[in-house]
Amino acid sequence: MIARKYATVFGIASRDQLVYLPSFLARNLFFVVVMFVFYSLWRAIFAGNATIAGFTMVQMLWYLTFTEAIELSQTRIFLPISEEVKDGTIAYSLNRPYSYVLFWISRGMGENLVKVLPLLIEGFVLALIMVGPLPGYFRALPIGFVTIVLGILIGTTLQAIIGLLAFWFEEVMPFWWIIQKLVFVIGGMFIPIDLYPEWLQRIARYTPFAFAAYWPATVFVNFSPERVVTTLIGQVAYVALFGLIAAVLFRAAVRKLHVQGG
Amino acid sequence: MTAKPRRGTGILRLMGHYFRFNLSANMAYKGSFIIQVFGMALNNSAFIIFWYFLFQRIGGDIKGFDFNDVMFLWALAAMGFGMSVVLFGNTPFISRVIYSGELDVYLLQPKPVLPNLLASRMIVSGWGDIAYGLILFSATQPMSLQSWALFLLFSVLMLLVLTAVRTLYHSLTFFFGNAESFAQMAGEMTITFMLYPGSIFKGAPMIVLHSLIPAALVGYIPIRVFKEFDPVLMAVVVLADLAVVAAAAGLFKLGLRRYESGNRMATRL
Repeated sequence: MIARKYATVFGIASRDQLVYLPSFLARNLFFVVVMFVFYSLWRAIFAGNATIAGFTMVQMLWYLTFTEAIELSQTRIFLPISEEVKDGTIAYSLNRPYSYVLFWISRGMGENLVKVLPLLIEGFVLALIMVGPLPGYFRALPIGFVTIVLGILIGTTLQAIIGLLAFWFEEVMPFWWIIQKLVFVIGGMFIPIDLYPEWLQRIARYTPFAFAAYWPATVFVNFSPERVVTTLIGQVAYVALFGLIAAVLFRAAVRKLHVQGG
Repeated sequence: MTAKPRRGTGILRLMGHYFRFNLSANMAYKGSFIIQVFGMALNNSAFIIFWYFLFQRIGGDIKGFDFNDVMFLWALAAMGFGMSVVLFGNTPFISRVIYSGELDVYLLQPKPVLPNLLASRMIVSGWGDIAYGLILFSATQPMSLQSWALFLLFSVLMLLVLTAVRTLYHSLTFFFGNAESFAQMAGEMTITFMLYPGSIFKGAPMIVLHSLIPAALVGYIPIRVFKEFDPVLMAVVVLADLAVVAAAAGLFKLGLRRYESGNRMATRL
Protein backbone atom coordinates (compact mmCIF):
# COMPACT_ATOMS: atom_id res chain seq x y z
CA MET A 1 0.00 0.00 0.00
CA ILE A 2 2.75 2.43 1.03
CA ALA A 3 4.79 1.61 -2.07
CA ARG A 4 1.73 2.22 -4.26
CA LYS A 5 1.51 5.94 -3.60
CA TYR A 6 5.18 6.42 -4.53
CA ALA A 7 4.64 4.29 -7.65
CA THR A 8 1.76 6.63 -8.55
CA VAL A 9 4.01 9.69 -8.12
CA PHE A 10 6.62 7.92 -10.24
CA GLY A 11 4.03 7.24 -12.96
CA ILE A 12 2.67 10.80 -13.02
CA ALA A 13 6.20 12.24 -13.28
CA SER A 14 6.97 9.88 -16.17
CA ARG A 15 3.87 10.97 -18.09
CA ASP A 16 4.67 14.66 -17.41
CA GLN A 17 8.04 14.25 -19.08
CA LEU A 18 6.52 13.03 -22.33
CA VAL A 19 4.78 16.40 -22.75
CA TYR A 20 7.94 18.54 -22.95
CA LEU A 21 9.04 17.88 -26.51
CA PRO A 22 11.46 20.85 -27.04
CA SER A 23 13.55 19.99 -23.97
CA PHE A 24 13.43 16.31 -25.00
CA LEU A 25 14.82 17.17 -28.45
CA ALA A 26 17.43 19.57 -27.05
CA ARG A 27 18.70 16.94 -24.56
CA ASN A 28 18.92 14.26 -27.24
CA LEU A 29 20.59 16.57 -29.74
CA PHE A 30 23.14 17.54 -27.10
CA PHE A 31 23.82 13.84 -26.47
CA VAL A 32 24.53 13.33 -30.19
CA VAL A 33 26.89 16.33 -30.21
CA VAL A 34 28.74 15.18 -27.09
CA MET A 35 29.17 11.69 -28.51
CA PHE A 36 30.48 13.16 -31.75
CA VAL A 37 33.04 15.23 -29.79
CA PHE A 38 34.12 12.15 -27.79
CA TYR A 39 34.34 10.08 -30.95
CA SER A 40 36.57 12.71 -32.61
CA LEU A 41 38.75 13.03 -29.51
CA TRP A 42 39.23 9.31 -28.90
CA ARG A 43 39.73 8.58 -32.60
CA ALA A 44 42.72 10.97 -32.46
CA ILE A 45 44.00 9.44 -29.21
CA PHE A 46 43.59 5.81 -30.30
CA ALA A 47 45.37 6.43 -33.65
CA GLY A 48 48.17 3.85 -33.53
CA ASN A 49 47.06 2.32 -30.17
CA ALA A 50 44.97 -0.85 -29.99
CA THR A 51 44.23 -0.42 -26.28
CA ILE A 52 44.63 2.26 -23.64
CA ALA A 53 44.54 1.13 -20.00
CA GLY A 54 42.91 -2.11 -21.17
CA PHE A 55 40.15 -0.34 -23.13
CA THR A 56 39.71 -0.66 -26.89
CA MET A 57 38.24 2.22 -28.91
CA VAL A 58 34.99 0.23 -29.14
CA GLN A 59 34.79 -0.24 -25.37
CA MET A 60 35.72 3.41 -24.73
CA LEU A 61 32.99 4.87 -26.90
CA TRP A 62 30.32 2.48 -25.62
CA TYR A 63 31.43 3.23 -22.05
CA LEU A 64 30.89 6.95 -22.68
CA THR A 65 27.39 6.39 -24.11
CA PHE A 66 26.38 4.81 -20.77
CA THR A 67 27.98 7.41 -18.51
CA GLU A 68 26.60 10.30 -20.57
CA ALA A 69 23.12 8.75 -20.66
CA ILE A 70 23.22 8.53 -16.84
CA GLU A 71 24.36 12.15 -16.53
CA LEU A 72 21.93 13.66 -19.03
CA SER A 73 18.93 11.84 -17.59
CA GLN A 74 19.30 13.36 -14.11
CA THR A 75 16.38 15.64 -13.26
CA ARG A 76 17.52 18.39 -10.93
CA ILE A 77 15.14 17.71 -8.05
CA PHE A 78 17.29 19.78 -5.69
CA LEU A 79 15.97 22.93 -7.42
CA PRO A 80 12.25 22.54 -6.57
CA ILE A 81 13.15 21.22 -3.10
CA SER A 82 15.37 24.22 -2.31
CA GLU A 83 12.73 26.57 -3.76
CA GLU A 84 10.05 25.05 -1.51
CA VAL A 85 12.35 25.46 1.47
CA LYS A 86 13.14 29.08 0.63
CA ASP A 87 9.59 30.24 -0.13
CA GLY A 88 8.07 28.22 2.70
CA THR A 89 5.70 26.10 0.59
CA ILE A 90 7.36 23.01 2.12
CA ALA A 91 5.07 23.67 5.12
CA TYR A 92 2.08 22.49 3.04
CA SER A 93 3.75 19.14 2.44
CA LEU A 94 4.34 18.35 6.10
CA ASN A 95 0.80 17.23 6.90
CA ARG A 96 0.38 15.19 3.73
CA PRO A 97 0.34 11.41 4.11
CA TYR A 98 3.69 10.73 2.50
CA SER A 99 7.37 11.09 3.19
CA TYR A 100 8.61 14.34 1.66
CA VAL A 101 11.99 12.87 0.72
CA LEU A 102 10.53 9.70 -0.82
CA PHE A 103 8.00 11.80 -2.74
CA TRP A 104 10.75 13.79 -4.46
CA ILE A 105 12.96 10.78 -5.09
CA SER A 106 10.02 8.90 -6.68
CA ARG A 107 9.12 11.92 -8.75
CA GLY A 108 12.72 12.43 -9.86
CA MET A 109 13.15 8.77 -10.78
CA GLY A 110 9.89 8.80 -12.78
CA GLU A 111 11.29 11.63 -14.90
CA ASN A 112 14.79 10.15 -15.08
CA LEU A 113 13.66 6.79 -16.43
CA VAL A 114 11.66 8.41 -19.22
CA LYS A 115 14.78 10.40 -20.10
CA VAL A 116 17.31 7.57 -19.92
CA LEU A 117 15.52 5.05 -22.17
CA PRO A 118 15.70 7.12 -25.40
CA LEU A 119 19.29 8.11 -24.53
CA LEU A 120 20.33 4.45 -24.19
CA ILE A 121 18.67 3.56 -27.50
CA GLU A 122 20.29 6.58 -29.15
CA GLY A 123 23.66 5.68 -27.62
CA PHE A 124 23.26 2.15 -29.00
CA VAL A 125 22.65 3.45 -32.53
CA LEU A 126 25.39 6.11 -32.38
CA ALA A 127 28.07 3.77 -31.02
CA LEU A 128 27.07 1.11 -33.54
CA ILE A 129 27.54 3.59 -36.40
CA MET A 130 30.74 5.13 -35.03
CA VAL A 131 32.70 2.09 -33.83
CA GLY A 132 30.58 -1.02 -34.42
CA PRO A 133 28.96 -3.50 -32.01
CA LEU A 134 30.01 -4.05 -28.40
CA PRO A 135 30.77 -7.74 -27.78
CA GLY A 136 28.52 -9.14 -25.01
CA TYR A 137 26.12 -6.15 -25.01
CA PHE A 138 22.91 -8.19 -24.98
CA ARG A 139 24.16 -10.59 -22.32
CA ALA A 140 24.93 -7.62 -20.04
CA LEU A 141 21.76 -5.65 -20.91
CA PRO A 142 19.22 -6.91 -18.29
CA ILE A 143 21.45 -6.56 -15.22
CA GLY A 144 23.35 -3.65 -16.78
CA PHE A 145 20.10 -1.71 -17.03
CA VAL A 146 19.39 -2.35 -13.34
CA THR A 147 22.84 -0.97 -12.43
CA ILE A 148 22.21 2.10 -14.58
CA VAL A 149 18.92 2.74 -12.76
CA LEU A 150 20.66 2.31 -9.40
CA GLY A 151 23.45 4.65 -10.55
CA ILE A 152 20.84 7.30 -11.36
CA LEU A 153 19.17 6.63 -8.00
CA ILE A 154 22.46 7.41 -6.18
CA GLY A 155 22.56 10.77 -7.99
CA THR A 156 18.89 11.48 -7.23
CA THR A 157 19.28 10.69 -3.53
CA LEU A 158 22.32 12.97 -3.38
CA GLN A 159 20.22 15.68 -5.00
CA ALA A 160 17.53 15.31 -2.33
CA ILE A 161 20.25 15.95 0.27
CA ILE A 162 21.49 19.03 -1.64
CA GLY A 163 17.93 20.40 -1.86
CA LEU A 164 17.44 20.02 1.90
CA LEU A 165 20.69 21.92 2.56
CA ALA A 166 18.66 25.03 1.63
CA PHE A 167 17.49 24.99 5.26
CA TRP A 168 21.02 25.96 6.25
CA PHE A 169 22.49 27.69 3.15
CA GLU A 170 21.12 30.55 1.03
CA GLU A 171 22.43 29.07 -2.20
CA VAL A 172 22.68 25.32 -2.84
CA MET A 173 23.67 25.38 -6.54
CA PRO A 174 27.43 25.30 -5.76
CA PHE A 175 26.94 22.02 -3.83
CA TRP A 176 25.41 20.58 -6.98
CA TRP A 177 28.29 21.83 -9.12
CA ILE A 178 30.80 20.17 -6.82
CA ILE A 179 28.94 16.83 -6.59
CA GLN A 180 28.39 16.81 -10.36
CA LYS A 181 32.08 17.45 -11.04
CA LEU A 182 33.09 14.75 -8.57
CA VAL A 183 30.98 12.34 -10.64
CA PHE A 184 32.62 13.70 -13.81
CA VAL A 185 36.15 13.16 -12.59
CA ILE A 186 36.28 10.75 -9.64
CA GLY A 187 33.20 8.89 -10.88
CA GLY A 188 34.68 8.26 -14.32
CA MET A 189 32.04 10.12 -16.30
CA PHE A 190 34.52 11.48 -18.87
CA ILE A 191 37.16 8.77 -18.77
CA PRO A 192 37.24 5.37 -17.11
CA ILE A 193 39.10 5.64 -13.81
CA ASP A 194 41.47 2.89 -15.04
CA LEU A 195 43.24 5.67 -16.95
CA TYR A 196 44.19 7.46 -13.73
CA PRO A 197 47.42 6.82 -11.81
CA GLU A 198 47.26 3.91 -9.36
CA TRP A 199 46.89 6.11 -6.23
CA LEU A 200 43.93 8.02 -7.66
CA GLN A 201 42.27 4.83 -8.90
CA ARG A 202 42.43 3.43 -5.37
CA ILE A 203 40.68 6.55 -4.00
CA ALA A 204 38.13 6.84 -6.80
CA ARG A 205 37.09 3.21 -7.28
CA TYR A 206 34.88 2.78 -4.21
CA THR A 207 33.43 6.27 -3.92
CA PRO A 208 29.67 6.75 -4.45
CA PHE A 209 30.53 8.79 -7.56
CA ALA A 210 32.14 5.75 -9.20
CA PHE A 211 29.10 3.63 -8.35
CA ALA A 212 26.95 6.28 -10.06
CA ALA A 213 28.85 6.15 -13.38
CA TYR A 214 32.00 4.00 -13.73
CA TRP A 215 30.67 0.73 -12.31
CA PRO A 216 27.37 0.53 -14.25
CA ALA A 217 29.17 1.45 -17.51
CA THR A 218 31.85 -1.20 -16.98
CA VAL A 219 29.18 -3.83 -16.27
CA PHE A 220 28.36 -3.39 -19.97
CA VAL A 221 31.83 -3.02 -21.48
CA ASN A 222 33.68 -5.46 -19.20
CA PHE A 223 30.98 -7.86 -18.08
CA SER A 224 31.72 -10.44 -15.37
CA PRO A 225 29.58 -11.90 -12.56
CA GLU A 226 32.06 -10.58 -9.94
CA ARG A 227 31.78 -7.07 -11.37
CA VAL A 228 27.98 -7.25 -11.27
CA VAL A 229 28.00 -8.34 -7.62
CA THR A 230 30.46 -5.59 -6.57
CA THR A 231 28.43 -2.98 -8.47
CA LEU A 232 25.10 -4.02 -6.95
CA ILE A 233 26.45 -4.21 -3.39
CA GLY A 234 28.11 -0.79 -3.66
CA GLN A 235 25.07 0.84 -5.22
CA VAL A 236 22.54 -0.56 -2.73
CA ALA A 237 24.81 0.40 0.19
CA TYR A 238 25.20 4.00 -1.00
CA VAL A 239 21.50 4.43 -1.81
CA ALA A 240 20.67 3.22 1.71
CA LEU A 241 23.29 5.50 3.27
CA PHE A 242 22.20 8.62 1.38
CA GLY A 243 18.53 7.81 1.94
CA LEU A 244 19.24 7.65 5.68
CA ILE A 245 21.19 10.93 5.61
CA ALA A 246 18.34 12.63 3.70
CA ALA A 247 15.80 11.36 6.26
CA VAL A 248 17.92 12.56 9.21
CA LEU A 249 18.49 15.94 7.56
CA PHE A 250 14.78 16.32 6.87
CA ARG A 251 13.94 15.53 10.49
CA ALA A 252 16.50 18.06 11.73
CA ALA A 253 15.21 20.63 9.24
CA VAL A 254 11.58 20.26 10.29
CA ARG A 255 12.61 21.08 13.84
CA LYS A 256 14.06 24.35 12.49
CA LEU A 257 10.88 25.18 10.59
CA HIS A 258 8.54 27.84 11.95
CA VAL A 259 5.10 27.78 10.44
CA GLN A 260 3.24 31.07 10.76
CA GLY A 261 -0.42 31.40 9.95
CA GLY A 262 -1.99 29.34 7.19
CA MET B 1 23.46 74.52 -27.41
CA THR B 2 25.10 71.41 -25.99
CA ALA B 3 26.44 68.65 -28.19
CA LYS B 4 24.33 65.48 -28.23
CA PRO B 5 26.32 62.60 -26.67
CA ARG B 6 27.44 60.01 -29.18
CA ARG B 7 25.36 56.80 -29.31
CA GLY B 8 28.32 54.52 -28.55
CA THR B 9 29.32 56.55 -25.48
CA GLY B 10 25.71 56.50 -24.32
CA ILE B 11 25.57 52.69 -24.51
CA LEU B 12 28.83 52.37 -22.58
CA ARG B 13 27.52 54.73 -19.90
CA LEU B 14 24.29 52.74 -19.65
CA MET B 15 26.28 49.50 -19.28
CA GLY B 16 28.42 51.17 -16.61
CA HIS B 17 25.32 52.12 -14.62
CA TYR B 18 23.86 48.62 -14.92
CA PHE B 19 27.19 47.08 -13.90
CA ARG B 20 27.44 49.16 -10.72
CA PHE B 21 23.79 48.65 -9.85
CA ASN B 22 23.78 44.87 -10.46
CA LEU B 23 27.04 44.40 -8.60
CA SER B 24 25.87 46.29 -5.53
CA ALA B 25 22.52 44.43 -5.62
CA ASN B 26 24.33 41.07 -5.69
CA MET B 27 26.83 42.09 -3.04
CA ALA B 28 23.93 42.62 -0.66
CA TYR B 29 23.93 38.84 -0.22
CA LYS B 30 27.64 38.46 0.52
CA GLY B 31 27.51 34.82 1.65
CA SER B 32 25.69 33.73 -1.48
CA PHE B 33 28.03 35.84 -3.66
CA ILE B 34 31.17 34.26 -2.21
CA ILE B 35 29.78 30.68 -2.31
CA GLN B 36 28.77 31.10 -5.96
CA VAL B 37 32.10 32.60 -7.06
CA PHE B 38 34.20 29.95 -5.28
CA GLY B 39 31.81 27.18 -6.25
CA MET B 40 32.08 28.04 -9.93
CA ALA B 41 35.88 28.32 -9.83
CA LEU B 42 36.07 24.91 -8.09
CA ASN B 43 33.53 23.52 -10.54
CA ASN B 44 35.70 24.45 -13.51
CA SER B 45 38.85 23.11 -11.87
CA ALA B 46 37.51 19.55 -12.19
CA PHE B 47 38.25 19.67 -15.90
CA ILE B 48 41.93 20.47 -15.33
CA ILE B 49 42.20 17.13 -13.53
CA PHE B 50 40.54 15.32 -16.43
CA TRP B 51 42.87 16.82 -19.05
CA TYR B 52 45.96 16.55 -16.87
CA PHE B 53 45.58 12.80 -16.33
CA LEU B 54 44.49 12.21 -19.91
CA PHE B 55 47.65 13.85 -21.27
CA GLN B 56 49.75 12.08 -18.64
CA ARG B 57 48.31 8.72 -19.67
CA ILE B 58 48.75 9.15 -23.42
CA GLY B 59 52.03 11.13 -23.21
CA GLY B 60 52.79 13.82 -25.79
CA ASP B 61 50.02 15.68 -27.54
CA ILE B 62 46.67 15.21 -29.27
CA LYS B 63 47.03 16.24 -32.91
CA GLY B 64 49.33 19.17 -32.14
CA PHE B 65 47.59 20.28 -28.91
CA ASP B 66 49.40 19.76 -25.61
CA PHE B 67 48.07 20.23 -22.08
CA ASN B 68 48.92 23.95 -21.98
CA ASP B 69 47.15 24.58 -25.29
CA VAL B 70 43.95 22.99 -23.98
CA MET B 71 44.30 25.05 -20.80
CA PHE B 72 44.55 28.20 -22.94
CA LEU B 73 41.21 27.28 -24.53
CA TRP B 74 39.73 26.71 -21.08
CA ALA B 75 41.05 30.01 -19.73
CA LEU B 76 39.74 31.86 -22.77
CA ALA B 77 36.32 30.18 -22.64
CA ALA B 78 35.97 30.87 -18.91
CA MET B 79 36.96 34.55 -19.29
CA GLY B 80 34.70 35.12 -22.32
CA PHE B 81 31.75 33.27 -20.80
CA GLY B 82 32.23 34.90 -17.38
CA MET B 83 32.41 38.41 -18.84
CA SER B 84 29.39 37.67 -21.03
CA VAL B 85 27.14 36.67 -18.11
CA VAL B 86 28.46 39.42 -15.84
CA LEU B 87 27.99 42.24 -18.38
CA PHE B 88 25.11 40.81 -20.43
CA GLY B 89 23.49 38.43 -17.93
CA ASN B 90 20.03 38.79 -19.44
CA THR B 91 21.06 37.15 -22.73
CA PRO B 92 19.83 33.63 -21.77
CA PHE B 93 16.41 35.12 -21.00
CA ILE B 94 15.77 36.98 -24.29
CA SER B 95 13.22 34.46 -25.58
CA ARG B 96 11.31 34.57 -22.31
CA VAL B 97 11.27 38.39 -22.38
CA ILE B 98 9.92 38.32 -25.95
CA TYR B 99 7.18 35.71 -25.56
CA SER B 100 6.02 36.95 -22.16
CA GLY B 101 5.51 40.46 -23.58
CA GLU B 102 8.02 41.88 -21.11
CA LEU B 103 9.87 43.53 -23.97
CA ASP B 104 7.29 46.35 -23.84
CA VAL B 105 9.02 47.64 -20.73
CA TYR B 106 12.34 47.99 -22.57
CA LEU B 107 10.73 49.56 -25.62
CA LEU B 108 9.30 52.36 -23.52
CA GLN B 109 12.66 53.36 -22.08
CA PRO B 110 14.68 56.06 -23.89
CA LYS B 111 17.67 53.77 -24.45
CA PRO B 112 18.72 51.46 -27.30
CA VAL B 113 16.64 48.29 -26.78
CA LEU B 114 19.21 45.52 -27.26
CA PRO B 115 22.04 46.80 -24.99
CA ASN B 116 19.44 47.83 -22.41
CA LEU B 117 17.85 44.37 -22.49
CA LEU B 118 21.14 42.42 -22.37
CA ALA B 119 22.87 44.43 -19.63
CA SER B 120 19.92 44.60 -17.24
CA ARG B 121 20.95 41.47 -15.34
CA MET B 122 24.18 40.09 -13.90
CA ILE B 123 24.79 36.38 -13.23
CA VAL B 124 26.99 36.32 -10.15
CA SER B 125 28.71 32.99 -10.79
CA GLY B 126 30.33 34.62 -13.86
CA TRP B 127 32.82 36.24 -11.47
CA GLY B 128 33.99 32.73 -10.57
CA ASP B 129 34.55 31.98 -14.25
CA ILE B 130 36.52 35.22 -14.70
CA ALA B 131 38.70 34.48 -11.67
CA TYR B 132 39.26 30.93 -12.90
CA GLY B 133 40.19 32.13 -16.40
CA LEU B 134 42.72 34.64 -15.06
CA ILE B 135 44.32 32.17 -12.63
CA LEU B 136 44.47 29.39 -15.20
CA PHE B 137 46.03 31.67 -17.79
CA SER B 138 48.63 32.94 -15.30
CA ALA B 139 49.49 29.39 -14.25
CA THR B 140 49.81 27.76 -17.65
CA GLN B 141 50.81 30.41 -20.22
CA PRO B 142 53.94 32.48 -20.86
CA MET B 143 53.97 35.77 -18.96
CA SER B 144 54.61 38.62 -21.34
CA LEU B 145 52.87 41.84 -22.24
CA GLN B 146 52.00 40.50 -25.68
CA SER B 147 50.50 37.25 -24.40
CA TRP B 148 48.35 39.09 -21.84
CA ALA B 149 47.25 41.67 -24.42
CA LEU B 150 46.24 38.93 -26.87
CA PHE B 151 44.49 36.92 -24.17
CA LEU B 152 42.45 39.91 -23.02
CA LEU B 153 41.61 40.91 -26.60
CA PHE B 154 40.46 37.37 -27.46
CA SER B 155 38.45 37.26 -24.22
CA VAL B 156 36.59 40.42 -25.24
CA LEU B 157 35.98 38.96 -28.71
CA MET B 158 34.72 35.73 -27.12
CA LEU B 159 32.39 37.78 -24.89
CA LEU B 160 31.00 39.58 -27.94
CA VAL B 161 30.63 36.48 -30.14
CA LEU B 162 29.05 34.33 -27.42
CA THR B 163 26.56 37.08 -26.58
CA ALA B 164 25.89 37.55 -30.30
CA VAL B 165 25.35 33.83 -30.97
CA ARG B 166 22.86 33.59 -28.13
CA THR B 167 21.11 36.79 -29.22
CA LEU B 168 20.95 35.58 -32.83
CA TYR B 169 19.26 32.28 -31.96
CA HIS B 170 17.00 33.82 -29.31
CA SER B 171 15.87 36.38 -31.94
CA LEU B 172 14.29 33.49 -33.85
CA THR B 173 11.58 33.65 -31.17
CA PHE B 174 10.27 36.78 -32.96
CA PHE B 175 9.70 34.68 -36.10
CA PHE B 176 9.02 31.07 -35.09
CA GLY B 177 7.80 31.10 -31.48
CA ASN B 178 9.81 30.04 -28.43
CA ALA B 179 13.41 29.31 -29.51
CA GLU B 180 14.76 29.16 -25.94
CA SER B 181 16.01 25.54 -25.89
CA PHE B 182 17.48 26.00 -29.33
CA ALA B 183 19.37 29.19 -28.37
CA GLN B 184 20.62 27.60 -25.16
CA MET B 185 21.96 24.68 -27.18
CA ALA B 186 23.73 26.95 -29.67
CA GLY B 187 25.54 28.76 -26.84
CA GLU B 188 26.44 25.50 -25.07
CA MET B 189 27.69 23.92 -28.29
CA THR B 190 29.91 26.90 -29.11
CA ILE B 191 31.56 26.53 -25.69
CA THR B 192 31.65 22.71 -25.76
CA PHE B 193 33.40 22.58 -29.13
CA MET B 194 35.90 25.33 -28.36
CA LEU B 195 37.15 23.43 -25.30
CA TYR B 196 38.58 20.57 -27.37
CA PRO B 197 41.61 20.59 -29.69
CA GLY B 198 40.22 21.94 -32.97
CA SER B 199 42.46 19.63 -34.98
CA ILE B 200 40.42 16.54 -34.00
CA PHE B 201 37.51 17.72 -36.15
CA LYS B 202 37.60 17.52 -39.92
CA GLY B 203 35.33 17.73 -42.96
CA ALA B 204 31.79 19.11 -42.84
CA PRO B 205 31.73 19.64 -39.04
CA MET B 206 34.60 22.10 -39.48
CA ILE B 207 32.42 24.25 -41.75
CA VAL B 208 29.70 24.31 -39.08
CA LEU B 209 32.32 25.26 -36.47
CA HIS B 210 33.30 28.27 -38.58
CA SER B 211 29.71 29.45 -39.10
CA LEU B 212 26.58 28.22 -37.31
CA ILE B 213 28.47 27.26 -34.13
CA PRO B 214 31.49 29.57 -34.39
CA ALA B 215 33.82 27.69 -32.03
CA ALA B 216 36.67 28.11 -34.51
CA LEU B 217 36.32 31.90 -34.45
CA VAL B 218 36.54 32.11 -30.68
CA GLY B 219 38.86 29.19 -29.94
CA TYR B 220 40.83 27.43 -32.67
CA ILE B 221 41.93 30.54 -34.64
CA PRO B 222 42.77 32.61 -31.53
CA ILE B 223 45.06 29.85 -30.22
CA ARG B 224 46.88 29.73 -33.58
CA VAL B 225 47.43 33.49 -33.45
CA PHE B 226 48.42 33.24 -29.79
CA LYS B 227 51.07 30.60 -30.47
CA GLU B 228 52.40 32.25 -33.59
CA PHE B 229 51.30 35.82 -34.21
CA ASP B 230 49.94 36.37 -37.70
CA PRO B 231 48.55 39.89 -38.36
CA VAL B 232 46.49 38.78 -41.40
CA LEU B 233 44.81 35.92 -39.53
CA MET B 234 44.25 38.28 -36.61
CA ALA B 235 42.52 40.83 -38.86
CA VAL B 236 40.40 38.09 -40.48
CA VAL B 237 39.22 36.71 -37.13
CA VAL B 238 38.36 40.19 -35.79
CA LEU B 239 36.33 40.96 -38.91
CA ALA B 240 34.60 37.56 -38.78
CA ASP B 241 33.73 38.10 -35.11
CA LEU B 242 32.33 41.54 -35.85
CA ALA B 243 30.25 40.06 -38.69
CA VAL B 244 28.65 37.62 -36.19
CA VAL B 245 27.87 40.56 -33.87
CA ALA B 246 26.39 42.58 -36.76
CA ALA B 247 24.26 39.59 -37.85
CA ALA B 248 22.86 39.20 -34.33
CA ALA B 249 22.08 42.92 -33.95
CA GLY B 250 20.51 42.93 -37.44
CA LEU B 251 18.27 39.93 -36.81
CA PHE B 252 17.15 41.30 -33.45
CA LYS B 253 16.26 44.63 -35.09
CA LEU B 254 14.37 42.83 -37.85
CA GLY B 255 12.52 40.77 -35.26
CA LEU B 256 11.66 43.87 -33.28
CA ARG B 257 9.63 45.14 -36.26
CA ARG B 258 7.48 42.00 -36.07
CA TYR B 259 7.03 42.23 -32.32
CA GLU B 260 3.51 42.83 -31.14
CA SER B 261 2.91 44.26 -27.72
CA GLY B 262 1.79 41.85 -25.03
CA ASN B 263 -0.16 44.73 -23.42
CA ARG B 264 1.69 43.85 -20.29
CA MET B 265 1.61 46.27 -17.41
CA ALA B 266 4.94 46.13 -15.64
CA THR B 267 7.51 48.38 -14.07
CA ARG B 268 11.26 47.89 -13.84
CA LEU B 269 12.58 49.35 -10.64
